Amino acid sequence: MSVTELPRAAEAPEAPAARRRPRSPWRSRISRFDLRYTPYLFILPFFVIFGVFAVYPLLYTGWISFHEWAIIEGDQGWTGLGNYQDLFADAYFWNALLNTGLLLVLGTGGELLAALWLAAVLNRKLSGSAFWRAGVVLPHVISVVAVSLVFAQLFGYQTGIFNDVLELVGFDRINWQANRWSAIIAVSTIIIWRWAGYFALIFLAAMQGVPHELNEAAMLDGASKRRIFWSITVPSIRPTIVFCVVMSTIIGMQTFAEPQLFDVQGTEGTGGSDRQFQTLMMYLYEKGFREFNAGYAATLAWVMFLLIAVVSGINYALSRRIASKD
Amino acid sequence: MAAGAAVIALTASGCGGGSSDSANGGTVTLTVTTHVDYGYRNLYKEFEKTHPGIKVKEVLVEDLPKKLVTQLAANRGAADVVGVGDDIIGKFKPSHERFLNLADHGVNNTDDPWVQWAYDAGTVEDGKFVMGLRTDIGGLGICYRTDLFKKAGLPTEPEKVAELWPTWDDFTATGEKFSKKVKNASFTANTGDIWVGMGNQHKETFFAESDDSFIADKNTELKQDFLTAANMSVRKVSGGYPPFSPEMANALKTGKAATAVCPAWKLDRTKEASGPDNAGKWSVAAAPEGGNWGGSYLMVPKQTKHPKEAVELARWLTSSKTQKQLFLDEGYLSSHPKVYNDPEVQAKKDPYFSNAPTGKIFAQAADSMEPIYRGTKDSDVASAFMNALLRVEQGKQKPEAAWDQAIEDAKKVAG
Repeated sequence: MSVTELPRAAEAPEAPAARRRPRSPWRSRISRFDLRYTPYLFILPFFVIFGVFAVYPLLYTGWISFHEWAIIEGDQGWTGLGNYQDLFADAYFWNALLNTGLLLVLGTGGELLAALWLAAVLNRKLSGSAFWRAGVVLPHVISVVAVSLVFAQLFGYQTGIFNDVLELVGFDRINWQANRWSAIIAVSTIIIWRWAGYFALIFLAAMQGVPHELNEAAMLDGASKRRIFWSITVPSIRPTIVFCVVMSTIIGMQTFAEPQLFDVQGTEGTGGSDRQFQTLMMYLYEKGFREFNAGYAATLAWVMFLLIAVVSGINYALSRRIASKD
Repeated sequence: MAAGAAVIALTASGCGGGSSDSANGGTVTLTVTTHVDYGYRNLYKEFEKTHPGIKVKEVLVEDLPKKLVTQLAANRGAADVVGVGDDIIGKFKPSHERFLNLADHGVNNTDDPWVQWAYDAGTVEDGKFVMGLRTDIGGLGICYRTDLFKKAGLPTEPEKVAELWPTWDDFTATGEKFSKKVKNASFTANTGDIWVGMGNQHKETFFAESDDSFIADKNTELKQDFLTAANMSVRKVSGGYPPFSPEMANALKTGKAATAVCPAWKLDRTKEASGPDNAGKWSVAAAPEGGNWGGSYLMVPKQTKHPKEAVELARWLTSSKTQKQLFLDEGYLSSHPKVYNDPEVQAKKDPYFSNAPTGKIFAQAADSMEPIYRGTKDSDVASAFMNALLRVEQGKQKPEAAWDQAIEDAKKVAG
């Protein structure tokens, strides 16, 4: 949008100058070309790369999804919508969708709430604030493999610390991987641990832009800290919240490494003994890279793409609403 | 957003990565990729010494089969020599044309022969197409804690221990006896490892040799194995420490599990997991009903720029002479009868494992083996059964029900 406006705005002062001292038509044509098209040239590399690495694979994946397609041997024949029909009749797909949805609510929802809280805390005057701010992104910098492996051990049935604590308090040990609810809680914990700090920093940056006068005025009116936070801070950073909700939805819909490594069978696992915590991305990986069934995996990839677009759209609309209340 | 879609398309359209070799100044550099440590490091130096002009570089690739398929599809990026496990080679058989037929390069099983079943499993087209050369074999043994066995009033000598369990049912019975005496340790680490060990004791498992059709539902032997393994969980003989998990390593280290399934290549891992403090507390005995678990094949992708040198390297690494050295130095059991029947190999004892005669124990298992048929979808359906055992271990299902679901799950994959 701004790109198309740019040349027009720049052209305006050029016109009177041309009247004063007539330039050679060649030069003026070059400069007009320069003004009009150079901006496009500057952003061209992005679109070339985007085209080669995103648009082309996307379309090619769509093409593959209409075929029986083995990774090594390639095309095994056109099936039209056959793969899509199979997918929608596939109980594993719906199971993975359910798990992805649960993780989206618990993990992604949790991570954003935790991020908001962290940002509110960091927004206060703390001594050594740079240290704390760097600290909260640390979990995000550490390799997801390392984080997941450590958590898988913490959640270990017989040797895990969480179970030791539960036992100490008088509860039974929980086999975290065995059931859907426990596994989803455990994996959500990993996701929140990994992402809360990252989004907290983005929220924090936005919160620092909220004028202090608003807070002071509210305080004079006798508003509580909580009320100020929900009625002033949160609405003020609405665009940031919307951005974070959409981004985290896109990330959350593709959750892979955390649950995959939480599986005791690692990358050979199917997300639990009964697929209790297999996500869409894990199922895609199983189909594509364990069974080498590229056609089916491509179908799943496209369905995921559409699902992500829809869910992100819904969340976009919802977050705009919620944040603009009050 | 498009990442999921992009991954598939990139691999299918051929954007594999990494080049494998470079020739400079008359030197040929061969790249070898392996999926686990094959213990070859010192051998490469020797190969380079005896083959001037060739340099060898090894890269360990943990998820090698996944990378290899994309490299084969792209027709670039694969190493000159690739090693894959014997449980996964079946998946590459439909694509054997992407590899060199080593029979065309003078490989056969008459000069310096491998044990027949191990050689056969690396061939297709009735043996006319030699796809892979067998590296090691696993044999099958049971590692056990002598201190815990003593506590349970069980014998501790390898021969005596092996007599406790001629069959897997006897193994379970021994476990129950053990559990009565020792309360703070499980008899065996998990049922998954036992199942894998058992699965290698039949000619056919999930798929028929004749036409690669799914037969697991009709294979009574296989079902019997499954129920035997699953019942070890029900009878609390198994501790439920998942195979290859940190929990299992921890259990071995802290003496929470008295036995573990041990093919030859696992001795080193067991040693590593249990740590030097437990030296001499472990020993090895023959496993019930013999068998083999593990071993790998070296294959040469057709895309290599140095076929002659690559074949030479693969042949050299899998030769009886090299394999004998590998056993003596690193403990990997040879796939050549000439080597595992060699007195020097049979005499080898491992001090960490109470000087158990490892060479002899594993060789016995190898010699009694029947060739196993590996279907092209073997590795795809395997997880359905591992999951089923896990469900029993987690108390979610009874063995019979777990088996039924495993069959249903496997059928979905087998098509």
